[in-house]
Amino acid sequence: MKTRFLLYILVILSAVLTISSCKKDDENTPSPASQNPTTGLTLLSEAYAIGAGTKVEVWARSAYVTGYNDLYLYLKDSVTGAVVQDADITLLPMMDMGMMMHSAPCEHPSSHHSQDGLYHCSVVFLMSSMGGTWTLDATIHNHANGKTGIASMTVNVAEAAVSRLKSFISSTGGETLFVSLVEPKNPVVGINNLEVVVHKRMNMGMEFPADSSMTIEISPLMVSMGHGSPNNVNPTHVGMGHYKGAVNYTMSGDWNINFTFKSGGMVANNTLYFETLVP
Amino acid sequence: MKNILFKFVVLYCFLFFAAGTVQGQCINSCSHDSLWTVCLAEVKIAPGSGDGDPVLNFYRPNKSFTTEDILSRVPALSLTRRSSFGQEPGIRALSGSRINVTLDGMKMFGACTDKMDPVSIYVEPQNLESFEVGTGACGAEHGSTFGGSLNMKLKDPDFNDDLAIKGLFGSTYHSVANSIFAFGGLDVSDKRWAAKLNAVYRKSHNYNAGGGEAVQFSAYEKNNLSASLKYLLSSNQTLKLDFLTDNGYKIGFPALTMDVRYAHARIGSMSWNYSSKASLIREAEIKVYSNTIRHMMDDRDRKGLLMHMDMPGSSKTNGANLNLNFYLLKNVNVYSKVDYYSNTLFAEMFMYPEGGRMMYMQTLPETKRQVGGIYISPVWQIDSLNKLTLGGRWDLSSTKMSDELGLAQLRIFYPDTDSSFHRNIRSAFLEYERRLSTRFVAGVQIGWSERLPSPQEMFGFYLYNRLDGFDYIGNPELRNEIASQYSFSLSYETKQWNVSLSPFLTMISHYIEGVPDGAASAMTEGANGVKLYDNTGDAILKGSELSIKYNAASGISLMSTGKFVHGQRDSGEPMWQIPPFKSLTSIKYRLGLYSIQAESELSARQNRINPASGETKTPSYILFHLRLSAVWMLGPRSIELNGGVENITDRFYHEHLDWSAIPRPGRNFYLTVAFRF
Repeated sequence: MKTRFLLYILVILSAVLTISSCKKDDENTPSPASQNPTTGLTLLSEAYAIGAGTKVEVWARSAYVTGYNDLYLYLKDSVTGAVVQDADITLLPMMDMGMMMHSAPCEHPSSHHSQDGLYHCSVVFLMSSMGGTWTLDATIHNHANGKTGIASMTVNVAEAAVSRLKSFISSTGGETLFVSLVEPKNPVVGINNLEVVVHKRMNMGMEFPADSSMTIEISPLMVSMGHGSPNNVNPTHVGMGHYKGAVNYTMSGDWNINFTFKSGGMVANNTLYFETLVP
Repeated sequence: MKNILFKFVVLYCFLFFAAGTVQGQCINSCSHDSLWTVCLAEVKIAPGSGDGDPVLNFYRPNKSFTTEDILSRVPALSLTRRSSFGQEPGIRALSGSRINVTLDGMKMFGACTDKMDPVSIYVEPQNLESFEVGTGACGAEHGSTFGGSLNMKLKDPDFNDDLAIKGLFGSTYHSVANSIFAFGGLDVSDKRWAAKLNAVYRKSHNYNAGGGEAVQFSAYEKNNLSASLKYLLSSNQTLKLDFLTDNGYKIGFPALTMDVRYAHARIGSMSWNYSSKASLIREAEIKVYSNTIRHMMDDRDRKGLLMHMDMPGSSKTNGANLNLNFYLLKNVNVYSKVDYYSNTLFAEMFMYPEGGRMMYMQTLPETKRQVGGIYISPVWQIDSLNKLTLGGRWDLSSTKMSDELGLAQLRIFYPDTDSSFHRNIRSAFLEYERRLSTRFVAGVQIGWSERLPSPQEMFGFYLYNRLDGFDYIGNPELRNEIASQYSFSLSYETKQWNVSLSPFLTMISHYIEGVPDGAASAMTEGANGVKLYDNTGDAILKGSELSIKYNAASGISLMSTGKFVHGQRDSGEPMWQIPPFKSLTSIKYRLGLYSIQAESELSARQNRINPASGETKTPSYILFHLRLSAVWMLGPRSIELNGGVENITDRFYHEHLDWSAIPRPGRNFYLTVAFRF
């Protein structure tokens, strides 16, 4: 009798342990350093930063597309192949349209220390490669060998199926502002994180500083039925031109997120919207 | 109004206690043609169960009457009409999840989130023996309630000493809707076996309102089949199987922008029954049952809409009951019941915009509710003049909505809501009846009860209510609604007369209703906004029923009923959807196998409305009906002929509870021919 009881306890305990350990695995999304850091990512471009003795690889979850692109740079010593964990990196995207050239908004890695070997950065491609040639230059200052060099890559940018990049001319300041939709990436019925990033076009399109001065209001609209959804959270500035809020979808279907941008209490634009498809 | 009621109560109490000299000794031996007590009543409707009974003919003067037609004639009941078929019964102005509607003690729940399928539509009077109506907490036998209970009792096949085959076939035509109603029943029985088969078919076109104009989308078609098989195990034990299927097609809903494409119900049960007059245990029953309802609403027949929609819904219920009726003491009889049921509801909405992608939402995410409970009610026959009844029920419930999409939807409104809820629900009542004299019987009932919020009230998502034009959102954190109630009854009985008056008072707290949410935008086209269910305070209902019966030996009989309810919120505003005073009077003259029956139906106007809920005033009306019936005997067989005209003056009218003021049928000639063998 007693042994049987003990056996039960043992079975239950082991079951509990198994369940709890499983849970832990699921929660630990960042993979351990021993694993390949590029798991789940695709290699999009690679080039040698000549002079820095460094090979630069650009990894991402999906191919280059117009709008906001999360990119992960993976640096290796061009001779030993050792992962470069400490480097200063600056990006320069450039569009060559033959008659003219322009750059694009981008966010350099925030630290010279890599995270598990990867440097997270982003580029907002303003147009597809149909209109010209995009190059992405990464200037590397490799702290391991103290050398600097530039890796230049030609990248092929596809047109997004549903636009995640919009622009408007501010009716208060007259400048051109680019608005990129960062989240929701995969909209679902229910509550979704909403994130946009706003950049200002300056110097004939050669510079795109982040704009943190906007007050943003949103209202989702189910266009075919003419109704909205309740309890949305207007995005507020969280740094680097990023604004975060929440958008709610009450049903599946085609939803627009309507935006109103205010600057200094005046409406800068109230016609901009993003289309989202909720499966 | 308050004053009148108060005076009445005082007068009543005086009668009750001052009646010192009691002469009558016949509380049991006197024949009552009414089965009303303070709060329980049985309305028999089956043919043969009371031939020539004026009461029977009153409730079902016409064989083609639907279940809801009969229910609308029962005192204390009123029906909410949304179409020519599919009316929702209410007891003393409470309906929906505030009352229990059961079929032979079996729990059933409509599958439509817009209340288009109250379960009474899945049953035909041909299936039924009687209706048992319990008002207030007295209905607790069938589940915790303060609104009351309506139990539709299925017909029971009877055994016969020799092999016997009996049957009834017939058909009815109604001119107002150009409708056909055909029915057939067959009974086969011998000493050990008894079987009953019933089939009903109805097809009705758009009916004409008073004045002759057709009411669009009021047509419907349905069939109903039921079979019952009983086997005698021993002299006091039987085993019974029941199966019932009901199929409605294209049931039009003039008050809505959608119609019912189909409404299918499958109901099955198995029961073991023991009964003995002599032993300590008088009656025992074990019943296992299962029923499934599939319901589909769409707007394919409607023109000029923004887009088409489909709204399928389903409801599955399984359960078991154990009834035990035993003598605790010589004069204390205990009714007890242990029951369990589980009900799973699911409703979706598909929308097809032109040129766009299909849109989808779950108007009621899959919700499983399980309730198990115990009910005990001792009846103490103190002496020949006094009777005391106690009753109590305790239920444990679990309500679970674990659908991920459903949770994601609901968390837009309630970010931290849980998916699983456990509740206790209790109810108790006390009833005391006293014979004051040979002619007067009085009774008083006090009850207290809770009710669970319905799955729709907890998890519904943009459920459109045509009445106030709001989309409703459930609230999983709703508290139980609680009510206490007081009912009285006073009846006067002689050989020919039976007059009974039953005033009542119901006080509800944590009243559940929708509260407008200004921030949310309505989903339904043209809706006024969004309401969230909440516990909103108190509500008081008071009213009375009156019934008068007269039965003379000369062949003349009269029956008249009246009902009235007054509802008020703690804010002083009237409650919405309160029926006005309504009275039905029937005079019948019978000569041998021929009879003529004249009826009047009178409804007062309803000016006490709640304008905030979009309710409008309803004018009064009076209708007259004339019915004739004849029977020719052909040996053991007979041919019955029923005919008549309803709404003789072709009055254009609607009742206050009718949605969108859709007019009711105008003048209608009908004729039924039935053959009995």
